[in-house]
Amino acid sequence: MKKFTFDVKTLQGMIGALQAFWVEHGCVIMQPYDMEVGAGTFHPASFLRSIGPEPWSAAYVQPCRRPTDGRYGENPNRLQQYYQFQVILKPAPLEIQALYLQSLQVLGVAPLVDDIRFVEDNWESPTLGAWGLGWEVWLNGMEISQFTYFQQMGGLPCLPVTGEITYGLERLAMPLQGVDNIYDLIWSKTAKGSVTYGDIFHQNEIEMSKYNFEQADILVLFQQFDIYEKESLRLIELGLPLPAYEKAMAASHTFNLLDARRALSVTERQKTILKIRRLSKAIAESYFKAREALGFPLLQGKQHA
Amino acid sequence: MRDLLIEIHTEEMPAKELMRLTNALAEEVAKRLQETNFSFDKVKQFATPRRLAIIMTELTSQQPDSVIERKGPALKAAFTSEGVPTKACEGFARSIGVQPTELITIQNDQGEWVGIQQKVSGKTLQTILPMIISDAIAALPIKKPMRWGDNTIEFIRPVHSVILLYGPQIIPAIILGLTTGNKTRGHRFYTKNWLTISLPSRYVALLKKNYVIVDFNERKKIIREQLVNLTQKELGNEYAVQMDEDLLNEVTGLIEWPVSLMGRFDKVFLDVPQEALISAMKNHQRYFPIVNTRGVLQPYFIIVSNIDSQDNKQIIQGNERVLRARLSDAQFFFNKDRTTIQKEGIDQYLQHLKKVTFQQQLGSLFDKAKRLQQLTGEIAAILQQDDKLASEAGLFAKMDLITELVGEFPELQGIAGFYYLQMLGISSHIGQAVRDQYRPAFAKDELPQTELGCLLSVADRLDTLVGAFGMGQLPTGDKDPLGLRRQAMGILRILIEKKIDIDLKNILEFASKNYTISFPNQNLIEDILNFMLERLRPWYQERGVTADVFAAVAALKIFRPFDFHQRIQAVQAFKQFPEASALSIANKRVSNILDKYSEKITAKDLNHNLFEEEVERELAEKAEEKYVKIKQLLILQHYTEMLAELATLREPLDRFFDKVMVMTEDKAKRENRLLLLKKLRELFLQVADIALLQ
Repeated sequence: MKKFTFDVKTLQGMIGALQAFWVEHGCVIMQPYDMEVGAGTFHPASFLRSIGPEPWSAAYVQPCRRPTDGRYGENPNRLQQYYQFQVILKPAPLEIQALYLQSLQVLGVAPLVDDIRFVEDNWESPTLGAWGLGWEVWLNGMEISQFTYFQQMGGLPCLPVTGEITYGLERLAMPLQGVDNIYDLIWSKTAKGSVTYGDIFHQNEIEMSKYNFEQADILVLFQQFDIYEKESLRLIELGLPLPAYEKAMAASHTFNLLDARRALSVTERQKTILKIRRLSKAIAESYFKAREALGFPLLQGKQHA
Repeated sequence: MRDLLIEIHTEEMPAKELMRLTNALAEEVAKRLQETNFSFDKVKQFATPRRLAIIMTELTSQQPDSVIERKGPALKAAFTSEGVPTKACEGFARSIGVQPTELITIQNDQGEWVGIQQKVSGKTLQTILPMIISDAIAALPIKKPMRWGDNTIEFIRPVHSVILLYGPQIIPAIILGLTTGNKTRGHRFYTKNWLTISLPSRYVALLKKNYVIVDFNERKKIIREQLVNLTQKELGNEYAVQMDEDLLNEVTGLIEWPVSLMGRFDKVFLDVPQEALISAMKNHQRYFPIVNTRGVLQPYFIIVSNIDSQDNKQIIQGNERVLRARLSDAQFFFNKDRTTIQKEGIDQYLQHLKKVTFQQQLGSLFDKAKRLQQLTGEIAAILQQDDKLASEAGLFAKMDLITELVGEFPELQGIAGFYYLQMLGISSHIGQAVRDQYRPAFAKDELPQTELGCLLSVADRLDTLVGAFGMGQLPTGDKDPLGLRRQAMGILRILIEKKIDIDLKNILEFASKNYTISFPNQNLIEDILNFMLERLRPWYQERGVTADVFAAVAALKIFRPFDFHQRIQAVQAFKQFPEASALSIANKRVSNILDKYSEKITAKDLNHNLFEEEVERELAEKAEEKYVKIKQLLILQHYTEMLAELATLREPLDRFFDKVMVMTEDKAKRENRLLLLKKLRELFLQVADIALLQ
């Protein structure tokens, strides 16, 4: 059998190496959720699985959309779409930091050469009704990861506590590849030559920036937001938290587009955030009840505290 | 007696909390040990990102023995006249397990009882310490505690080990869910294995061997020396490192083994306002900027890393890359703003403010700018200053809030405006005022440098207060989302410290009419004035002004803060006069007499013919003589002199009360006397209500 090795000097190699590492440590490798999300935390494998008593370990890549961060492909550090590698460990093992550091070593970070720091960063997601405590991790001054112990999700306390590690793949790749411009990152080295990040995504950044900032139809977005919100509420009433959550994610992304179009006043913005939070909380409760009704299957005979 | 080591080893704690927590830990543990009669010599605190520790030297191992008395029945009730123990006595003896004959007599002022003295041996440290440590930890002021893993224990970050070491001996306990031991970790990357601490006295040295400077202040000192030496070595005497104390503390809280390295950035970035560059370095990256002897920023910075790297170049290059990205961003935004503003001109550019809401229901930032134009102009006019200049400063004050630079670096509000207005060739007075309008930003912050800056800062805050109070958004308890307390105190500090004598009531009326909306809160001006008065109370208290002095001036309902302040100082000084106490009592007495007299006094002027006693006439003459002087001094606001004048009334007033019966039967005489007292009281009230002094 051929043994696979990963070239961690490429983005695809990094992803492969991280997946292999976390498989070794008991993670289910999931795939990206097939909807637009602002962060890997929105993936049901993070948001919903961190609710309730059931243990859960997963890792996955999630493309993230932040319409306001678009720069028409002109800024060497900012993108409206980028990639996170997300690791969810529930309950968070006491050695979670050590595991994370080992994973960095797999990628070529040398702890006795590089300056690695855990700098306080308290995470809060107003739309998910969630907060946690942890750090941003610095590699020679570059923020390469977010590390969070979830304390509350959808308004519910996290018991046990989920540990979330979010690698910013582009940010991590830049120092590892010694590159100053995101678009110069090597995604893949093939027999026919290297494929860069720019080769794959530069046009996308330009077009999507135009769409996000100039072309997204504000009236349509407002209508869509209302529809997604109403649908989500209806589905919550019907005891269907998973489809309700999809509608909430859609509403959230619509909100982000409205934000990029600067269509929301400060007050309206706050009100809209509160609407999404209301959905998140109701969904979290509904999901908890649904899992409870199933007898928390992943507990495997453990008593629910 | 031995030394005690307590260490809580954790994951990386918030840098800014370390010293606060370790000091609190030392204090809470020491307090509890003292309360339980243990003694020790000294407490020493330690803190790194991954540990809080204290060492107490010469701690006793056991509480001293003590004797307690237990009282039984009264002696009379304990024995019959024949000396036979009664039932009550036998019962008591039985309850403590002795024979009645073994009881002794306890005697004190209140009587005699049977009873017993019991010797109680002191408890050992080992038995008491676990509870003390648990309680002390529970009492720590952790702002945001967290849970981790599968348990419900809370701390600032997950805990990995707890050391309780008394001399060579571990004191067994369960602390924060962990069994105490004598093991800890060294530097995260240098030492793989657990370290065993054999004795508390070896703790510091063993950690140092394992790349941890455990003493916060020592680490800070090392960093300070490194910063100075590195600058000197790499750049020479023409350069100096900007050593901000807060940044130094934060950096000390981020590392266990400091190694300082010099980084560089491209000179082209020096075209960007240096505040933006410094902010990127300090606030975002925790670097120390370098300036020349004239305080001008230079293209160097110092990184304090947590590792003595095998290849420093890696760390330097990595950090330079990150800073370059940040500075490019700042440069990009600055140039973009400059192009837009230059192209559009100030009037057109200000139109963008219409798109941004100032506050819910209070209109846009453009409305705010228009109000500031009016209000700042009005204040300047009242103070007989250039109101045209002031109006413009008001109108331009918020222009930078829509710039890209402030969008990226919110802390540059005001400063960005200064640069853009300068670029447009607008008066530097306006630019400086715009720059300083957010000062004072915190309690001990500096005030705006220029007079116009002060006026603009006051106008901005007054407008915000009126808007918030008008909408009924008053701060309650801890909740003050708009920072109104700080805003109010800022106004007061500027007016008092910069000696700007202006009547807040008038200005607030103007500021409230300046809003085109009608406010739900009809009482807003009075609410704001009371709110501001309440800010002054603790402010004066901190400055050693006693509550009675404050009350004496506050009673007058003065709305000119600078005038208020002068009166406070005068009354404070007056309190030291030998006459003060007597005059205060006399004022109280006068006030009581006048309060009790329910009839209306018809006469307006004193009738000297109605006086019977010489002392009355003397007092009246003195009072009339003072009246003229006081009126003159009042115009000049010479309150100390006024009180000095009034102090001379003490003796005639004393003689008056000794000799004269105010409430005489004869109505005309009585009311004439009351009128005299009323006039005297009014005289004193020109400065303060002296009756309220204690």
